[in-house]
Amino acid sequence: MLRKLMKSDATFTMGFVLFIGWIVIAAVANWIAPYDTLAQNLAIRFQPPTGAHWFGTDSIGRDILSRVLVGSRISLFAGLTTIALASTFGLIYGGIAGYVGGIVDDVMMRVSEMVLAFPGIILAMTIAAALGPSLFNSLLAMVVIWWPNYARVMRSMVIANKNEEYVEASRSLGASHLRVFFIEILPHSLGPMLVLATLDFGNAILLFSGLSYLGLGSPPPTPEWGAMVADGALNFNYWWISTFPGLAILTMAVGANFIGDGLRDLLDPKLRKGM
Amino acid sequence: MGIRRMSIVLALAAAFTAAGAASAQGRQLIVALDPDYQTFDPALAYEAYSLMVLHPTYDTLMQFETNTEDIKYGAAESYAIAPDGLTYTFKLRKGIKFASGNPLTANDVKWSVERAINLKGNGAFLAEGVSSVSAPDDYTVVFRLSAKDSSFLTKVTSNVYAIIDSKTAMAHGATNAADAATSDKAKLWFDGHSAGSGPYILESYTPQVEVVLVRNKNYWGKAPYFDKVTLKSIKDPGTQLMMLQKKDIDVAFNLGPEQVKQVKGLKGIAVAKAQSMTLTFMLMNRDPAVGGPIANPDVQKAIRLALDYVGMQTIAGEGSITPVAPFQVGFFGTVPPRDPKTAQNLAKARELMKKAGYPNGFKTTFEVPTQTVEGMDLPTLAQKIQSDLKQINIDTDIKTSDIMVALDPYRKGKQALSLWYWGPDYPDPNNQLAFLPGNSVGLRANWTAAMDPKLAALGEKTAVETNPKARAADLKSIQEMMDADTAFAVLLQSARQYAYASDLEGAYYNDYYKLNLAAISR
Repeated sequence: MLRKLMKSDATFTMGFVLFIGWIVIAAVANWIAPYDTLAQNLAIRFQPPTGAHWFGTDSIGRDILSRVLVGSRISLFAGLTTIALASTFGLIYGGIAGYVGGIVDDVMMRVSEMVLAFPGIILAMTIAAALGPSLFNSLLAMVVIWWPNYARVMRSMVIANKNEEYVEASRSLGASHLRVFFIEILPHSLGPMLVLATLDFGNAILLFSGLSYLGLGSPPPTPEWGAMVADGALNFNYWWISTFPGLAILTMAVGANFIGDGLRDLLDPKLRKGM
Repeated sequence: MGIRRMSIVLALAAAFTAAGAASAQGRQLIVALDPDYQTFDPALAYEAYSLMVLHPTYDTLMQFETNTEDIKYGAAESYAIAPDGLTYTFKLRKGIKFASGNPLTANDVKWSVERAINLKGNGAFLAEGVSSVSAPDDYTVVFRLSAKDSSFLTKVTSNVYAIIDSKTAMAHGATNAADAATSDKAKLWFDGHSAGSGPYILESYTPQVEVVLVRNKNYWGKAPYFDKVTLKSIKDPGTQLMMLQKKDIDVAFNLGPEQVKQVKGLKGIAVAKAQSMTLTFMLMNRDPAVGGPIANPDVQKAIRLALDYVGMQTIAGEGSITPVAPFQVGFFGTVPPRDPKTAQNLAKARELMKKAGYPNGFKTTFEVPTQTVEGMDLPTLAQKIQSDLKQINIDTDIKTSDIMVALDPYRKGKQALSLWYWGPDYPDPNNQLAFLPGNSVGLRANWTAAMDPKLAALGEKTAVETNPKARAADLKSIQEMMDADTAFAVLLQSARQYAYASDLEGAYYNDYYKLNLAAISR
């Protein structure tokens, strides 16, 4: 299936290569980084890219290449954790709302709409600023603004599936609610959730970098891409400080998005183009 | 911080619309700056940039010129201090007229100071020690103080003592009554107008955009060179630089060390450097319940010895220095700054850590506001300090937060180790006595008077010492004592850099007025 996708969809292939590339880099970052990400050397601050420092050095003389490489771990971790937590919570929440229905559904959905009504990034900024900047708090803020999307998709899938004949059949055989939900309904609802999750992965990385750029992500001296872009914005004459972490954010987010697009095309029969 | 970034975009937009307005009628001076002024009511204004506008629009009894070291006469032509040190009698210059044409009399001085006291603005504490003001005749003003104050003459230069045209002000709802805080209705009027006798008149103020000053034809002193002065609010240093290069402005006032590098040596642009009076320092709490191991005086001494002052000065930019105690170099009685090359002594620092009982170090949080001080990013400096402290095995977790969030625990003395900055309220060493044990900033580190009674007592004595010789000697011993033991580590006194069209003359920096606008010519 993967091969089929890659053949027919150039953007998917590109996304796949970019993303797998980043995962490999993240896995071996600590071994391939040429310098210690925290080692400062004020004598060589603001050095443009050279043979010794391929991506140049930042405002306190740290090697940008090493920081970009190691930074991939934090971004991947942030993206994965946010999406995993948000989708798990959304899945349970939306599943209950959709399965139980009635007044429970109404109340639960109104609550999720309340969260959705806030502009996401502003709400995340508020939460992260109120709790104080740390990796955990920014992830928490992101999960808080992200779960309602999953809850809504899950709910609609459950409602669409819960009256199918095979569900009725299972129920008439005496299966418990839990069994009906997990064995019959859930597997048929996962497709759209998966697409949404891959598409969101890139957005989560972007939002996390955005929070870090504003000083609300992991505290310094963590080599976080968004914070590195911010360092460059303060020292605008030195283009390389922002450019390389910026490109890293771009490639990782675009990679995840392209994969999500490809998966959506594959899983949505209406969009399948003669495959 | 997000808002600041967004405002860069707005500033750029403003810059483009402002371009081309430079070639207008008469002699014009255009200054781009990133100001913090909120109001131009002399009794209420208390921001770092307030005096930049209020000094050229109002007279004060005493004033500074280009330097903060020697005080000059303003609207007063002489003064006398009674032997008890509590009565100051000023004789006013005759023939001073307000911009409105009304004569300036002792009554206006009395009215203005009383209004400032009763309005209870942020700067009103500068007049706290005044128990009464009287005007025995039109040209004599007598201040009675409730306690001796060696910095009184300096305080008189502040805008709280600015002389307002009381007739004009009262016509617009101002009052000096005891309930002025609620009954005074002139604040809004003052934001767009001035009622003073200075060389300029405030013509208009558009927040976030500009302040326009025009010449006061009734000015009693030497007429200023420029007919019109415009202060444009341009937040982003890069935009200021670009406008200066395009000759849309004459002065780019808020440049960081990195922008200055770009314009150095360019034709037609002069770069000036001045010592800023802003101090960057570390607070180390003395209360073990808050500070833990940090509270140990030996640990605090070790921290001071572990820091790489050369490196910090590199980050702060050329011209920055490190005073030995929280007293700015340039103030009366301040001793020469530390030699950064010899101030670091890791061996001695490690020894002190051992003596304190922490040979293997410890872990602590290090609180840092996300703020830029004279072009230097505090979180960047914090990372440098973090790596220095690691050398004596102190592991710090940097915790950054917005300044509005960080101020509260700082003021309440709840931070173990934190990075802060301090701009003086008035250019006098008495202002710095706040850092002494038992005083306001000292108490933020829970450094009480009981912990160092000798130093606290010396501080109290200095605050009221009016004999300059004795005062200088006291200040010197205070700084020596604080060099040996204090709850702070004074890191940097930054240099301020700005650039201006090289045909300007007299564009000297003064920490108090920023630029003395009336003294600039082309």
